[in-house]
Amino acid sequence: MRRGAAAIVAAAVALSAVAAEAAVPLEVRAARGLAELVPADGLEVIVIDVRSGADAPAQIAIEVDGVAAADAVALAARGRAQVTVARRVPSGAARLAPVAVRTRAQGDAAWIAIELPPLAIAARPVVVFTDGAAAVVPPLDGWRRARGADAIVALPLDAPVRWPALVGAGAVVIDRPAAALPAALARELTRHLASGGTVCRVGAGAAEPRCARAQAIAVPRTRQPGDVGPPVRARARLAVGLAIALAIAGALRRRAPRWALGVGGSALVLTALAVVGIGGEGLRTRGVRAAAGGGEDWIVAELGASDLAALPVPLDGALWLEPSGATAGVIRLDAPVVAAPGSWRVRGFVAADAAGWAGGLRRIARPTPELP
Amino acid sequence: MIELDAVVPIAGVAPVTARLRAGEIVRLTGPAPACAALLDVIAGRRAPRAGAVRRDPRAVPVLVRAGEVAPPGVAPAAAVAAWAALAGAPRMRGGAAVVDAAAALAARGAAVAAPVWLIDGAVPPATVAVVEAAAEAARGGAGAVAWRDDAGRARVDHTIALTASAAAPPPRRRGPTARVVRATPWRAIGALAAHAALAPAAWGLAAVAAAWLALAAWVIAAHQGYWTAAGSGAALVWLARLGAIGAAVIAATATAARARAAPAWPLIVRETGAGAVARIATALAIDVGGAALLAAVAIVPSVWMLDGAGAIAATLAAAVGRGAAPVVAATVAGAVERGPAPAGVGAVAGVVAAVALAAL
Repeated sequence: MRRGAAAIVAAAVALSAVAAEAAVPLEVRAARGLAELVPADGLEVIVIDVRSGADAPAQIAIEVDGVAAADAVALAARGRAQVTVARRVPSGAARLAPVAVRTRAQGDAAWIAIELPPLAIAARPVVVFTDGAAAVVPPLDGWRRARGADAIVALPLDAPVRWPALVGAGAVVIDRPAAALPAALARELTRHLASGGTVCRVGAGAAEPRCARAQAIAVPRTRQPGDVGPPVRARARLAVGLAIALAIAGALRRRAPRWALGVGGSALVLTALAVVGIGGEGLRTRGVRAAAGGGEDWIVAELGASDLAALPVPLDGALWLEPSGATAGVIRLDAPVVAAPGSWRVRGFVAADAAGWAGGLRRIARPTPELP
Repeated sequence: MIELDAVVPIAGVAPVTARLRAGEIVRLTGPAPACAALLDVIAGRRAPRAGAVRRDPRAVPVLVRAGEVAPPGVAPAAAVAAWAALAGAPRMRGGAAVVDAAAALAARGAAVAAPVWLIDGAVPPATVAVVEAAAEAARGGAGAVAWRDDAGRARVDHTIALTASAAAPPPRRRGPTARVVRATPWRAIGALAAHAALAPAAWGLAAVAAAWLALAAWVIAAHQGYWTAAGSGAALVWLARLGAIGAAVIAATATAARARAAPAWPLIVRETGAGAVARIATALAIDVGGAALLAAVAIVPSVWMLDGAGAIAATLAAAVGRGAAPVVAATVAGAVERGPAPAGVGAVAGVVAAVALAAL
């Protein structure tokens, strides 16, 4: 069951040599899923790694199955960039078809394409993180069947797994205390736990793994429309200022000051539009946040972006952001951006002291989940 | 310049025979209604009950009467200056006559128009300076002045006294209005428009329009999700539309009220003998000028819609239309209200025209 790092995820490599006409030589690697499967009702996470062989900085575009996944990704001279995207696993499907990832630098006509192999879809799979899969996994098979899991998959402790990839997993199993796990894995498993997942620890001599699960919280599931009220009210305040300036100008007896105040004051009031930015961030939020440990909060929210919002709005945090109600499409996991007006569903992790759009979320008091 | 031959201005007044020469300052004495009627006869506003008025074709009467000097909202001095320009008087600047080529020719008796200033009553303070300057010009030979002022004047050349008479009045006749063909004084009309645009009343109306804009914005913000989809940018379209309609309503109402408050103004302009183009331009100068600041306020919401999202050309085109709405409303309201229509019809017509334009 133990597999090397190269076998953790299906991967493909394309070298720029195959695209001789490309001005910027690129080396592209990509991986998808958890080993050779993805959880049903989860996310198919694709990690794309691009290296530049050029001596000048470049910007690259990435497509997944012909759908734009990232635009203008900055790539330093002989530098490297990693882009993580995801797609929802189609409901009811048994297998994911091969996927084509294409990359090219801006200004280049030719794409550099690679194809990632197909993946199986498993319902509620058990994901085991261990360096001793041969000893740890077989005893869990009965337990796995009792939990109704389709499959069990073992990953090494240094596997670059992110929490969205674990969405839909029946359970995640570790074979050692949290303190003994690599820091990156411990953080991702803590996030998985805080997001409602189950994390279990198999102990020496124990008949069954000991599991932990965060207290469930009710989260919003309906769309959140945007709000143009604040920017329109800001315009109303500007109009009041304009009315006052004009009224004072009209009350002046002498023509020169009247002209100066009327035109100057009105111009000042209207210029305030640009200075204060009455569009603002323009996001209307509805949702909850709860302590997730590690100085982070788990958030589930619906964001409403109005037509008057100052888009695009980049969001800080390890977030999974997609249009509300979306069932398809490519999600950028490493650079969440509210790109267009409408309702956006966001879930993920922000700093516990994050303000701004996250500051308006209702805080839920629940015990901070801890790995078993 | 003007000869009165046994003129009976109204019933009950003895016939008046007098002569008004260029360069003279003449004072009228007698009952105020009789003096006013005689000034009307000299100005050509009404025909005499009896007698005849012989008028030098160069003599253009300018009747300045207390209470009907100019439409409200326009500086009297500016109105009188435009009015005098229509009558061919020397150009006024800062309350003083500019002695230009026309005035010099008039002083030498050349065949150019010269105003006969007919001052009835105590004119407003703002007009006094203009009239005094005109009197100075008249003393130089550019026209004449006939003055009925209860307060009296320090210097007059002679007096025309009107006395009562018990003789039966002759039947009323309708007299012709003097017409003199002359160039349209575009500079004076433009100055009148500028004065109307920048008068305190115009600023006040613009302030009211801005306040309406604020109210409309608050109402629109409060009705998000009802009038427009929540989060939709259509709210700004509504704001621009309501702002333009509000400015047009204000412009139409104010212009109609102004026209209704100064019913003598079209008559005053007509009796200058100016051509139709000049008279129409003068009327438009006040109406359009008075709506200029309102048009600027009506454009503000359209400016707020400029976000650089690619619809700039369409937004600017809409802004032009919305800016034109108050101007159209004022023009229609003024034209209708100065006509024979009942009071208020002009305002309604202006609003209808503007709403139709704004709806586009």
